[in-house]
Amino acid sequence: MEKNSYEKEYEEYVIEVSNLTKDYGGFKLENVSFRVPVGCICGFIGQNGAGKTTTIQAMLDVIKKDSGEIKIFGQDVVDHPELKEDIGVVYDEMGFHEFMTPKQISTMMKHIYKNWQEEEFFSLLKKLSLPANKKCGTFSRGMRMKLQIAVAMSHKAKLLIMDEPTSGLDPIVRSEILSLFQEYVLEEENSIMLSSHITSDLEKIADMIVFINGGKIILSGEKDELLEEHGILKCKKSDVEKIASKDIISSTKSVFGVDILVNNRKECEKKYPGIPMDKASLDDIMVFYVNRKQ
Amino acid sequence: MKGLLIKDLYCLKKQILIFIRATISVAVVSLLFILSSKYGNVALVLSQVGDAKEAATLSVLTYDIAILVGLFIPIALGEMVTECFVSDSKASFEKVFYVIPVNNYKKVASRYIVALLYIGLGSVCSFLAGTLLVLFSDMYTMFMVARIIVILSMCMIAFMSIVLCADYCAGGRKSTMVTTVLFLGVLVVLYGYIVSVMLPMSEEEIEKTFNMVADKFYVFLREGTYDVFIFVFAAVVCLVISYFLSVKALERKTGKL
Repeated sequence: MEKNSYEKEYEEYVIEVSNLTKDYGGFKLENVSFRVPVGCICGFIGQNGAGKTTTIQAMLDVIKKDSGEIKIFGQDVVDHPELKEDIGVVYDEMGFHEFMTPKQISTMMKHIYKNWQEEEFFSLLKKLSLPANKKCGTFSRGMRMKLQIAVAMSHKAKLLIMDEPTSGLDPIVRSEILSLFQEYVLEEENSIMLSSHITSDLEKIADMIVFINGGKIILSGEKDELLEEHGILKCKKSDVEKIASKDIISSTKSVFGVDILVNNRKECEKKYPGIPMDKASLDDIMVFYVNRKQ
Repeated sequence: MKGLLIKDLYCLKKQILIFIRATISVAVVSLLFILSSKYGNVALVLSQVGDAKEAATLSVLTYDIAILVGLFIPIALGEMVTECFVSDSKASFEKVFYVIPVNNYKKVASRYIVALLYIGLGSVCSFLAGTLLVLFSDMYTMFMVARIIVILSMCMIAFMSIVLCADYCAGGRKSTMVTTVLFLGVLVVLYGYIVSVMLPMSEEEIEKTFNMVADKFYVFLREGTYDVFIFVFAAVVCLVISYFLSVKALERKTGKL
């Protein structure tokens, strides 16, 4: 199949954000930079109000950035609105009218997206147990999310950008949705950027993690590497002095002493053999880094 | 753009009954009014007016105003297009609206086309109601009714151009407020103008002015022909200016496409 103009341009990265800045007065995105390789699921994590939605909105050109560069498929969305044909977007709230049925939404989308796959949409509805002729207003939160995901996946989008798609959903629906995402990236050229503060979901499916806090990127890299590098030293109060300050990312008091997050786990295990070391989860990493900042 | 039109037409589908009801009500009420001014209470009141010429003027004026208001009601329902803004806002449709691959020119155009469709549908309803009136009254010709409907439609297009532009500038959630403020604004300006003109007048002068206005109104409704094009031109100018301002407002609010 012949590649179109923008596909020829990019080789490796589906999203490239460099030095993105957006100042709202009370809140500022400061020099946000990260890259998402083609074919991977990128988890975008951070506490509420960290800047995840603002970054996503700037990426989609929903808000105007103050400065910086955002490239999707190697090109700027501002100059190439046709790129939106290949981007599926899912928000934490359904944006469709409550009086519309999925069938009517399909009729609408058929005339918006050139590559709208009606059959694919209805088969997804069936797979997700969604009625095609029932008004969206009668749908539960889980059903609304599934509908949005079905829409986003039915126009041959090569990139799904999702803002908190699993928040407020029960574990069964969440697992159903996560499986869909995993199936979606089986096609090599498909990629997902998934913002969430439910880090357990991302631990299951993400290939890489971008961690934002207070409008700044704190960490960015492969998930497995991040989890491998980070560890928690379970120190007694008397052990704390033994730890070199350069090894400490952040510490917190626990019932039995002090927990210290380090980002050179293997090295610290050798350096401090008497002190037990736990693996850090994404949740731990997030909490420790946020606490350090505060 | 077609997809957005379809979405707005689904909104219109919900409101089609309102149009049908309005047309029937307007036809029935106008008919009742004409019958009343011929044989009923309005005829009785008019017969008590001493001067025969004055009674005739009053009679024609009441007919004309009733017809004008009657024919305007279905056209004015074109204002219901702002319901689409409210409906979009309630559904948070802006989340979808801003990420679909449709440029701002087409996004705005779809809303204007729907507004024109609403006004067009209202005009058809008015025309049906007007046809009934022509059949039951010998005072109006089909040409007169058609001319009045075109003028009223053009006024409505001009008004909607302002409303839509204000909507894009103010945002969906404020659209009802914008429409109300605009409507009340027009009323207040008109009322203020009439009061300021009439206040320094004596009773005689007021009567004279009233008769003069009634005469002009009579002539305007019956004797104009090509002046329709002035209304059409004014409406088109308003529409074009409003369209480009709306696109600019949308570009300013979101990213430029």
